[in-house]
Amino acid sequence: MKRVLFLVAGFLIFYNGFSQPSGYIGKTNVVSYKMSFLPTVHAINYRLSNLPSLNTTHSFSYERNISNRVTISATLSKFTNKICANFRDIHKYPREIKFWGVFNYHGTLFEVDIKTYMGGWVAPVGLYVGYGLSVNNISFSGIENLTVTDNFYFDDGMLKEIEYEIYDDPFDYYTFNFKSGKKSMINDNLSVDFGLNASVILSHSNKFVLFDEESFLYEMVKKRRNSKLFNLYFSIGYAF
Amino acid sequence: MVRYFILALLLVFKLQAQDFNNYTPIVCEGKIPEDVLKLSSEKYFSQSASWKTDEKVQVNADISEKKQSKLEDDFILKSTFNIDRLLKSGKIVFEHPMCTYINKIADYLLENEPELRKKLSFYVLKSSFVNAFSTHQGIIFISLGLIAQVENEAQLAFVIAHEIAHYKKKHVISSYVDKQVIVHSSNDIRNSSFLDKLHLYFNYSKENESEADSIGFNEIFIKSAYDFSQVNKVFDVLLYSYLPFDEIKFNTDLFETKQISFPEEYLLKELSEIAAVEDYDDSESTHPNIKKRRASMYNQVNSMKETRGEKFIVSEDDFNKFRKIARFELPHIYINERKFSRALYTSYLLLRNDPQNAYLKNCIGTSLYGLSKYKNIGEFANACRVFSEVEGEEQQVNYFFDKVTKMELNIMSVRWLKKITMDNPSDEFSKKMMKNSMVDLFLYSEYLPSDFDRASADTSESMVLLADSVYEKLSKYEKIEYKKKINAKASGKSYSNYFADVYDDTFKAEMDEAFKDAEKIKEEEKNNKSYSKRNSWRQFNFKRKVKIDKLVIIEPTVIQYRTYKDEVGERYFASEERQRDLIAQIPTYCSKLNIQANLLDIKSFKESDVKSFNDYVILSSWFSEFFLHDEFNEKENNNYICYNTKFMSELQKKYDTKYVAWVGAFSERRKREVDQSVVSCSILLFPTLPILMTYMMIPANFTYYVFMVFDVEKSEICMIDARVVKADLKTDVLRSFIYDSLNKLNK
Repeated sequence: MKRVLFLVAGFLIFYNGFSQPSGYIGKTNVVSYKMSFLPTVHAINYRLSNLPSLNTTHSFSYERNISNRVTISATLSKFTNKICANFRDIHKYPREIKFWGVFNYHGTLFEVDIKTYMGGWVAPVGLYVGYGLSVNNISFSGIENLTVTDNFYFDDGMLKEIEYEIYDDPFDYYTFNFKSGKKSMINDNLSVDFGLNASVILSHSNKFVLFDEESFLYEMVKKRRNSKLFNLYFSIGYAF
Repeated sequence: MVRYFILALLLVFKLQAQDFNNYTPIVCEGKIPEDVLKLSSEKYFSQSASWKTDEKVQVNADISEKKQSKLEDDFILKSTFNIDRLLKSGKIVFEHPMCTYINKIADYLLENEPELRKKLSFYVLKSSFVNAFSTHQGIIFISLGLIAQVENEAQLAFVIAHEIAHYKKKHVISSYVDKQVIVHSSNDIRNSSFLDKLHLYFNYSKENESEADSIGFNEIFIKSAYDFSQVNKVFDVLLYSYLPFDEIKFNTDLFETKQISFPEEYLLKELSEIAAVEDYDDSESTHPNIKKRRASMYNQVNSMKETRGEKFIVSEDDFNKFRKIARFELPHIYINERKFSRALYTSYLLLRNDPQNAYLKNCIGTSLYGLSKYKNIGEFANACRVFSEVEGEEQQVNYFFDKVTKMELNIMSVRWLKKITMDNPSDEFSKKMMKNSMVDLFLYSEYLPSDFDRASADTSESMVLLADSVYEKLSKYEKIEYKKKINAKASGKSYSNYFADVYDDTFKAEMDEAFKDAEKIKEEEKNNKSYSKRNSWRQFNFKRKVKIDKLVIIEPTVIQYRTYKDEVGERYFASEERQRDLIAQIPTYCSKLNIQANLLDIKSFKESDVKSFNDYVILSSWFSEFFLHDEFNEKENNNYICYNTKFMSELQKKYDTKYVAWVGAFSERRKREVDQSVVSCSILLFPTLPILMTYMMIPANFTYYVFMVFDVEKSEICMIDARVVKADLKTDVLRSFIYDSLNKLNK
């Protein structure tokens, strides 16, 4: 991590020292609030209601011009989603496990990206493509509120209940992000940005275990994680 | 006291008298009129409002009153913005004594119609075309070409009366409405072919012209004391308007020396006849043919009981003076229009009455320079019309310059310009052109400076064949040199004598320097062949290694265009809004970037800023000329010295910089075109079809932006910042572009 920080700092010092990007009328920094979302349907999102949800992530971002066509930015994102496990079960004869209840899925993301403004645009205004790396930390809360029944059957009926344990340790995964969008200025200070983001998981930590790998909960969390890999975003920022 | 009075009198006399020897092109004087200063949108709103309250003329029975009103409003919008561009183009002259003279004629013609007179304003148009036209606002433009060709004031007065009649009968608007009705026609017209529609439109237009002739004569001209018979002669002026203002035999003596004369085959033995046809087919013309117009007016003029009249009423002296000025303006205009052979012939015609005129000699020098430059690069047809297309005495000029070789033209240009600089050593501009021409001389030939030196010239002049015994005693090198001279003399292609009368030590030094420059260019061209191979806008972007912290920025040009659905044409208000925003922002950005910029924006001028307006005119002319000689901009080492550079030295001193910038932005909104393969793929992957269809429904936007900085002293581009983006020309886009361009200036 120290090495990465050292490289990023060196990169910034180099570009600050040797280039004088124009930015938007001299404004080379943009701080912005970004909302990422992917309109999803009930089946994917596992919401309590059947209505489609926005699956939102809220982020704060700092973007700086390093040349007339390139910017680098750092983004910190947070989200909390509820995962509903009502009456879902794993039924593998002779064993039946049932969950019901809701638990929270928290994400904290840190992303560093580099955006290249296309064609004749002068960063930070115009069409761009961006490439970034992000570290995503996922944690859970409310697991203890889940009600779980676990039955073991023989041919003549239920024999006994067995012991079980849920592991809710946080886990990390790393993604490579590709984004494309368009940033405009609605007055000389206010920026508006919209685009889409697609990510590929590079690796994830071994801690990603919930209950066990066979469980339905595991699948739910995995799908939740994947649903965050493609999203649309809208951001509003202040240029200075 | 008496002494002061005499001095003041002399001063006034001096100011009024035109110095034709050191003639300078006419400029605007007095106060800048409101027509020029007011914003186009403001003018449109006021004109549109006044038009609605004005008396209506039902021009077309095929459309409803509402539709007609819409079309009229559409016309006022387009016309107001376009006429405004003409007013700002630098091609018009206001408040010059010539304008005052034209106004006096109009005052006289309309002395019984003061209300109509008040609505009219007259401007002189710096154009070589024999033309006059009126606009719906009551602005009447009279071209210098017309003033140069008319024979007397009565002829000019009839043309003015004709244009007033157009305004009076609102022909400009009715003509537009007619055209639109035909294009978007209903009923029977809709089923007609395009050609039939076109003929219908031309018929309407011809009716308007005949009506203007008739009303101009019967309602305006007839009330004056002008000679009615001159009306018929106006048609002669129009018929032969494509010829120069005089027909005098062209002689090459002007370019010959005692030692050198051009071969006979360089001149046509027989010239083509002047074939101006009066009764030409006018079915595809907006004007009736001259024969019809003449016949129609002949009957009207003949029906007059009284045939007396004056050729001059306002002032014969003024007419002669202003016609002479107009004729002196023509070479200047032709050079600006790249019509060098015509400029040369016009100067030649004027020079006959004034053989020592420095201005005319300069015009000939500039024309020779232009012709030689174009001949050198093989684009001669762009500078001199093909002689077979030219009629009259002018044909000889075009034939002669077509026949002379590159080499001959180069030496003619060098010698002529050298003679000018010898007559007037302070003429830095001619010196610059001469040096440039000299470089070309060595660049496009295998000659050496020694081939032109005086020693060689003198020997050649008095060359006698050497006896064998003498020849044998010569060294090897002397023998070769002797043989060369004999051969050159035998072929008649020896030019060593051509500079005999201008050859001196300075000339020799200039020759040596030019030769070195030519060699350097040859070397550079060998090493850098890729310069002219730029084929995309990004490759055109460059900046010379100069820091520019002081410059003049000429009013930006912003045009937003659309060809989407029914909306075809310019988005005038959007264009003006963006332009005004840009003009407002540029000074702020410049001060932020520590750049001293003088923004020449006409709309920000005050009435009294006529000098700044004239500066703007000179710069505009320089730009127009620079872009006209586009062939040379592609070649790094072969720059063309623009004629208008001549007028830049004062501007350079005034603004203390030689850098001038021009900004232009053009955007287009058009229907999106999607490749067939994309559509096919989308059909195969049918869930993507709604996305593609939505995408196709959104119009495509393109913005083209250029920021150019010129070194007007060297006539070269110092910086190009060109961009093409797929977006509409929004404020933020334009602001970010201009800031970035300015930021690059002092790096």
